[in-house]
Amino acid sequence: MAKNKSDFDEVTCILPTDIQYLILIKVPIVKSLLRFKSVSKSWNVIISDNEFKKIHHDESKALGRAKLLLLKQSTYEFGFRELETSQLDIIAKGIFLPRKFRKAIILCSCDGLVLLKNLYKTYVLWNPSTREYKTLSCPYFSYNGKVPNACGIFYDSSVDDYKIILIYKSSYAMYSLKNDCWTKSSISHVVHLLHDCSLCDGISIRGCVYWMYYDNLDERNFTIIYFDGKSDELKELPTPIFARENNFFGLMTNIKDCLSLYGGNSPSLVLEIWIMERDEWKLLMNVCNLPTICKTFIKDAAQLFCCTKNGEFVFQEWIASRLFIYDPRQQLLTESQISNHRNLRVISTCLDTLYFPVSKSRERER
Amino acid sequence: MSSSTKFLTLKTCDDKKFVLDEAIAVRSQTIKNMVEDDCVSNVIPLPNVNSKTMTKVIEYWKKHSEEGVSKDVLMDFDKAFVKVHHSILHALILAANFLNDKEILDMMCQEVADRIKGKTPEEIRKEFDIKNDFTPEEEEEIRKENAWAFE
Repeated sequence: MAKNKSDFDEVTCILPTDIQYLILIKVPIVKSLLRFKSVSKSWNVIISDNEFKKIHHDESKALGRAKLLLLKQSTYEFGFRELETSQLDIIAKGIFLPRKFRKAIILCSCDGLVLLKNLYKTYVLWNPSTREYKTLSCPYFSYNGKVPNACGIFYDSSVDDYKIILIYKSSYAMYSLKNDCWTKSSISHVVHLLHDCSLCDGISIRGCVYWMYYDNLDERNFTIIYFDGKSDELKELPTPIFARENNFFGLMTNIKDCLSLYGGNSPSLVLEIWIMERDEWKLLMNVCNLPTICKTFIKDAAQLFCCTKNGEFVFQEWIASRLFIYDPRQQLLTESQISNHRNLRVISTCLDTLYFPVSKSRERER
Repeated sequence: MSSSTKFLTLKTCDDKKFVLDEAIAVRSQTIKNMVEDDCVSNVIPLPNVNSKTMTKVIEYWKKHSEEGVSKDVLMDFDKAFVKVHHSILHALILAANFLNDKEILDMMCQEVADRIKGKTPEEIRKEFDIKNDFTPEEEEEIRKENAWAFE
């Protein structure tokens, strides 16, 4: 390749604006794009344009460019880490919520939109990449400001809109980001399940939000329910056969945009990772040779977050919050370098995106 | 090769000729349209592409048209293919744009995007030959709005 170099004219060709646009769409880091706003007036116009933001968002999503969103609990500082490499390099740090929301509780996130519960009936929708936020007042449910029994954000592709769902006992409220409006409906099925439990972290996958909970009396019995954004119904997912047969104890996550269950049974030293593909459960892999980790893995030890671009898995310990990377090819579990920063907690995988719903009541931090 | 193989002759702006299997050349949507519209006589002129750039494009087309090449091999090939001086990168982008080959265009634009992501606005202006048309006050204002992006 190098020998060709001198053959080419050294005069750099000037790229026309439409090609500059194509390049900007592919810049993988929002922080860079915000910096590039000061390149020229035309770049500022391109990058500030809502259509550009949406195309950039959709492209990042299609390429599976999620990052890891972390929170340093001692200082309440957020940061992004790369998932393209196993080093989990820093992409952005020093991200803070507006001071007035520092006490807010993080509920869930989807595609770079984070939902927090502030005081009483107010919620905060926040994009940590751009630091934009919007406060939402749910007109329903008072319950003394309690967090919902379940909540989630999902993308409804049929109307190209993100929706928030908050479930309180036997009804739910839904907020459409595009229309900036709330609606309330009652739940006709699965009502009894929701009364006493709190299943906040909804896992959002292709227009559905999934929650899982364990029976208070029998620890081995879990149920997965989901809200189907296509029909606006709350449904129950049949317990997988592998779980019924083997006293499977596990948790749920999102792996490569598939619903995933990971866990095992207590005497087992093998951690199983299952994913749901085309409505069928499929064993993705067994994580073995890890007795110290696997013995009580799910119950006491660690949470599985995601898969890096190289196909490694990122785990985090519950208590010590150490991060581990599991490489399935070498069957090797290594502690990540960034574990040195104790009290660093993984919030979720998160898209680094410029996208934020625009409506009349848009706010900016003072 | 079967006897039905048709060949096209492409002529670059520096008057070099490339004889190429039609099946490969139609990776370019521009050429494909010409073939389909039956406006191909003997030689297809490519007034916007020089021979050095065309050599690289054909190298890419041939590799990606080979049969039985594994995904990994192609991935390694692509990785090496984009590792070129930025003047070549820009020339390839313009050629891919003219030839309307979305695959090469996307790959090359992604490479530029990855290369510029860590750069400062000053470096970007130099690389793309963009004039700073902000007044100092306007620039200051925009920088202030996104101050943390400069940290």
